Amino acid sequence: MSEDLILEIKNLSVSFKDRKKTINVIRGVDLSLIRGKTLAIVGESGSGKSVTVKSVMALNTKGAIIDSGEILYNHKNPDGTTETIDLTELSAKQIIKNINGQKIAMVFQDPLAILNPTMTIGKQITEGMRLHRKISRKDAKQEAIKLLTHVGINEPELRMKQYPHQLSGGMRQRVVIAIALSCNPDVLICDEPTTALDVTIQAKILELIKNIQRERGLSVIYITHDLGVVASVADYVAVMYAGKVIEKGTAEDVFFRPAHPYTWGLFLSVPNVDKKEDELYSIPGNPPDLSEPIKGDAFAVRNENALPIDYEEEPPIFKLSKTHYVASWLYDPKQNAKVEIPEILRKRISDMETGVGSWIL
Amino acid sequence: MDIVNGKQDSLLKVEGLKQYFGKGKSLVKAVDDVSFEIKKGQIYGLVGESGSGKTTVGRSIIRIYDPTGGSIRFKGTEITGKLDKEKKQLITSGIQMIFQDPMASLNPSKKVFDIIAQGVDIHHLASSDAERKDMVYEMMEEVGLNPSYADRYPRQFSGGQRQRIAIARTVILKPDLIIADEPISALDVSIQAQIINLLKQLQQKYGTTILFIAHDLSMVRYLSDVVGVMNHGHIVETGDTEEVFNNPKDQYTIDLLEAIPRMNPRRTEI
Repeated sequence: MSEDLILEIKNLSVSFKDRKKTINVIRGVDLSLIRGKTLAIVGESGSGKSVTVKSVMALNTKGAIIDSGEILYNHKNPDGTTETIDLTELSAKQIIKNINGQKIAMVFQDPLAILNPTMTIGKQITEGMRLHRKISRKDAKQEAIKLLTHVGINEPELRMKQYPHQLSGGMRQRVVIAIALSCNPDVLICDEPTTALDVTIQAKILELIKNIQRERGLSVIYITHDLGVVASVADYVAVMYAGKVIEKGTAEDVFFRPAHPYTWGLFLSVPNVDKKEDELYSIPGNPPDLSEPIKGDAFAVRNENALPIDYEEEPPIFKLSKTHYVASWLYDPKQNAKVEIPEILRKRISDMETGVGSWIL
Repeated sequence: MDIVNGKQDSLLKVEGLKQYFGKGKSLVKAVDDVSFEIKKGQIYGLVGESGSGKTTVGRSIIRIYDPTGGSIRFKGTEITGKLDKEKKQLITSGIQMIFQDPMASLNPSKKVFDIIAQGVDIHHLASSDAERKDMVYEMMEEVGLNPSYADRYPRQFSGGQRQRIAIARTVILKPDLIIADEPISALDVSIQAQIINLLKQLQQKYGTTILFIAHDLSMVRYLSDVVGVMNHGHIVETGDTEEVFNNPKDQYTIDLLEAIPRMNPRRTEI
């Protein structure tokens, strides 16, 4: 292992069971997060991106069962030694008590759902610090004010006494970020952190997270469906579909050399904001029902260029380069398939590379 | 380009529209002096952030709210103020709406067939039961729903399919104007493109005029002929879509366009 990985998810499978049926939400996910870097997990609803990170923090709803796999968290002690913990071997209670907030913290989509409406901002920020770090009320207050300033909230002393409803959506999300940082975590997981916000506010929050990451050397996982957000924050990108990672690589790999037909379709489904386009490609059909067994490649039925083997056998992961991986039979040398990126996408990528259409003003 | 040639007469003309809520200290000027015009067969994209008043404009036009002031002329007839029977008829048969969340706008206890047929019944568009059936099945086919699903309920469909049902029940009435209020923002990326293409295809076939209310600027650029940018209850800039996107004049429009994260990892600044 040459790279300094802070988090490794290995062959993770998660299912939800109730009396009637079993839904295989995560079907063998391999992901790793390099210390100090940003990984963006992209996918549509039901692709399993949220469940994957919630498994890390034992936050899945009742009925979720980890069927197999490991989630390794490599913690660096102050003396420089590394300690590896398999989070799947801990109980949910242990994870919530010892990991969440202190080692791995999360920023959620809707700050109003996370913040307690009856508690002052100050109380909510200091609560975790006092509980986990056993510091005095006075010290916690001082630190909370510092944190609020840090996340760009003006008049922090006044805000400490206010309630969530007295703040705007963007300010609330800043408070949520301050709470996430209050116990000095190593890993910050941002689950659609800007989806509920307006685009002008979104830009400020993304920049804030970026700056904090740089200053604190945080490792960040973003979960999002917004490809623009991915492009502006990610070092590494993983694309998920039907409970599997179907493509992963550096941001450059995935945006400039997209390999999986689903990734192509996803990119093409978003019209270019900087250029008039006459046609908009849409992926036909709907994502599969994961309560039914899936034969072959889950994307095959929506893939206009599916190979016969796609309907028969699940594709393994093929290595395209040192950093770029894809789960598609197209890249199996034995299939002898012709890989053709759609023409419109090829054009867009060459525009991106030369900078045409990516700067509007 | 998509404007039907020769049909350049005005379908909807909004002038100085004001929509206030509350009074005294809590007076909110949700829409304040908004003017724009939509020509027949055009798609007009009304964009803005939350609280800008874009949704309120749509709701004032279809008279979910009673406008506080200003004028709305639809097919040449003033539709603000007190509505008599004829004006009501003009609005209900001429303007239809598609909402953001199809689960909230479709009656969960009705079968898809009945949801789509409801408007047909209200407006007496079918002369016989057989014609009514044909109309609904044809419409289902047209929006990409298998007619064999006619006996199912909304909950048995995915979000994208539900929005297809909402579109079917709207388009079957052949309205002159469709107000589509964030019709895709509750849907997944790959499904959004499907719905937008469906809207465009139906618009081209029937020459329907659409007021497309959205916050997603890339979809607005793709779909709209003309665009209006709203901020704090005002339209700060309006004009030909390409003109506004290529050469924005108002500072707010410029800020809005700049704030969109681009799908290009080499463009490093957010």
